[in-house]
Amino acid sequence: MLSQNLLRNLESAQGRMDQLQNQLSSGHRINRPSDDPVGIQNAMRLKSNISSVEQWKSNANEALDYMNTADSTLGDMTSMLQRVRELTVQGANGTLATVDKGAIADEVDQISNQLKMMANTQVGSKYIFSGTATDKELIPLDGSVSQANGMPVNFEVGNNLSIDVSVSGQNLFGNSTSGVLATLNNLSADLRSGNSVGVNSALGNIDANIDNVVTLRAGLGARTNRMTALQAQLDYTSGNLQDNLSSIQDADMATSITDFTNAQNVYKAALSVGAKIIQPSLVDFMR
Amino acid sequence: MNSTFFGLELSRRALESQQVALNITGHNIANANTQGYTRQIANLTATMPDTLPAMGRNLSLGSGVTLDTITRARDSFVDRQFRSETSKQSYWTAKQDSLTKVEDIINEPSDNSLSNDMNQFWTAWSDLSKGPENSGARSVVRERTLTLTDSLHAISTQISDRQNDLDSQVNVQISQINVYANQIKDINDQIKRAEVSGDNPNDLRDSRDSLVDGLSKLVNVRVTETKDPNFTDRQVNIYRVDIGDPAQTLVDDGVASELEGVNAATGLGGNGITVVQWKDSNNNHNAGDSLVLGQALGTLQANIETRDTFLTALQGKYDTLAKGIVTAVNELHQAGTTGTGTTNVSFFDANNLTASTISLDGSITADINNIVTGAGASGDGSIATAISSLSSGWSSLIAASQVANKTTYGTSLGDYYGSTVAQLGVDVQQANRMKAGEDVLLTNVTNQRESNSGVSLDEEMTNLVKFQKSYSAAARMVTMMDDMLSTIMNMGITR
Repeated sequence: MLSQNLLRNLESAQGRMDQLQNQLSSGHRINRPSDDPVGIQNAMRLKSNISSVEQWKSNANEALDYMNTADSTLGDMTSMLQRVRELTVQGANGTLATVDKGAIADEVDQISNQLKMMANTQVGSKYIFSGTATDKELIPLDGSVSQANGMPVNFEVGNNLSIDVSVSGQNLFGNSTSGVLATLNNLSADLRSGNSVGVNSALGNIDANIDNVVTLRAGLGARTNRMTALQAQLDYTSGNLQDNLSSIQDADMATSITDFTNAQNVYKAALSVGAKIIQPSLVDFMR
Repeated sequence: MNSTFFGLELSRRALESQQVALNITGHNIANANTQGYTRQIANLTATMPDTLPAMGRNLSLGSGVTLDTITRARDSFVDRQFRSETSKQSYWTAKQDSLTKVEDIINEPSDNSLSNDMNQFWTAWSDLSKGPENSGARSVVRERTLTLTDSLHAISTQISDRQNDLDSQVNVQISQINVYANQIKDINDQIKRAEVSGDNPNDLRDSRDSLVDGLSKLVNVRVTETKDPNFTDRQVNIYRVDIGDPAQTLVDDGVASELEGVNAATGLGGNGITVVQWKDSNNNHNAGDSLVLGQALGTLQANIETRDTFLTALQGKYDTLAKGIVTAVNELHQAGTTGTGTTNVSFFDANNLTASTISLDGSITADINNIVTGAGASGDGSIATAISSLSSGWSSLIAASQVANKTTYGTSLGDYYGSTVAQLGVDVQQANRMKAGEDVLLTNVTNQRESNSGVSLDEEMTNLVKFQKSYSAAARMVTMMDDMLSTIMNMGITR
């Protein structure tokens, strides 16, 4: 009976050591659902949240790339249009020779070509000004009809929170009568034909175009700010969630090690007591 | 006046009795470590005294000792407690064992668990939503989906394998019970023959008790021992073993009933489910009656419950989960348009709504470009975003589906799965605790029984000394008698 009790106690001491050993070597307090059913449900929910947040963070980073590219393109466009405005003022000068006007028209054409290139800016393989038709050019170089659309390109950066990362190319470049390219074409034609009235009136159109680009850029800037704020917030949330998860599922090393040492001592004590209990019986003392 | 040799005869009886007592002590020592052995006791009694008439009155003169009976130190009440605790303890042990194995199957929490696969599935969609024209992201969605479906298949297969294992265990246990029944019946016969001849077959009774103890691990047992009315002059017993609740007779003296397994129902994945029923009629059951087991008693009960109720319910939960994933994803997926303008494309095969069958739709397997991300334009990730947001709730579904899903799954699919795992955890925890509690109770009863029936070597050594001294003393008595007789013989002889 003594020996059976001893065996059982040894086993239970060993069982405790095994459990603590598991906790210590995995670093987790919860190694199976039965260790803490409530805890595991929370841990699973947190893990799922963390994986979503990590994904949103990666989405936000990519969104910022996208937006920054769009922003710098818009910046370039503004400065080019400023240059066009200067040229227009210059071209409106009635004393200018036809040859000089032709030279100005050439520069305007060059800028117009450059703007077409910008209209087809890509991030990776995506055309950023083509709306959701990211595989289509906004202004096809072969002169075909544009298949781009004005739909927003949304990036998911939170629970049911999608932010438009794009600038509509259609709004940016406008239509074929008052749009940027139309203005430049007319300007170039007027310069060559010496139509100084036309050149003068182009000035107003260019101002309107510059305004349009600046407005769109301001909108994009506001969204970029929001995205940056969200990114910081997601970083913070992710850290928070990791902390929560850790407090739920991680073993408290100090406690576990103390407990383990304790269990080990109990086990050793049980063994040494056992060695004393098992040996003697009356038989040992009889001659 | 009694015989001159009276003293010799008395000493002889003393020698004989002490020797038998020594042998019994030896038997006890020899069986100190035998499983199921009960300490035997030599019951010595004084023999019938001689009556001496002396001076008008009678005197009883003690005539020595004789061995009356050899009995077992056994308490049938403790036996009954022991068997009832054994049944309970075995039930929870078997239950804990099965549930722990299921816990191993689902492998939560770990980096290779189903919840992890689900999370990766949702994030793959989110990744796709920001780059729908990226065929790499499409492949990732398809591969993550395959990982998810493979995990569900694997879990489903293992659950149904586990059910199959338990079913074969049930079959093994049925034959074990039958073997026990026949062995008990045979020993009953032997004991009866011995008892009829006036014997008290202790060691046979020990074997029978061991068998009943073994039987009590499988099912709950009740033993009734009554006096056989056919014998009035000696103690002959009728030994009856009932199992289950209400009691159904397994062995009635020399008649054993057998159980049989009948393959009656179809389990998970086409598994056979064995139903336990009686093969023969006996006191209170007929052939073909099914065996009625009590509440939480014995391993057979634990196995049958886990097999029929627990595993089926668990599989049901996985099926529901799979169905939820398929229908929710498909609802969103079908609302969009592929790059080539096809609408109403399923992502999962809509006919396969269980964990064991869930699979990608054929069109997706054939071409990753059939994965719908939005309304058709190559950069439109709206549908993919909607699918990935299923990870946290139902808000991307149409109103009717939102309500339906909320009723079935709660906050989200991940949540539903989380509560399934938590429920399993609670079940295992309960089994662990019950087993720990029953272990203690059983140990207490075992200790009680051991202190009553077990062999204590110290006690036996003391007895050994005691009987040996008595034997020596009786031998001395013979020598003394011999001396006395010599004195008598030498009377009147002159030297």
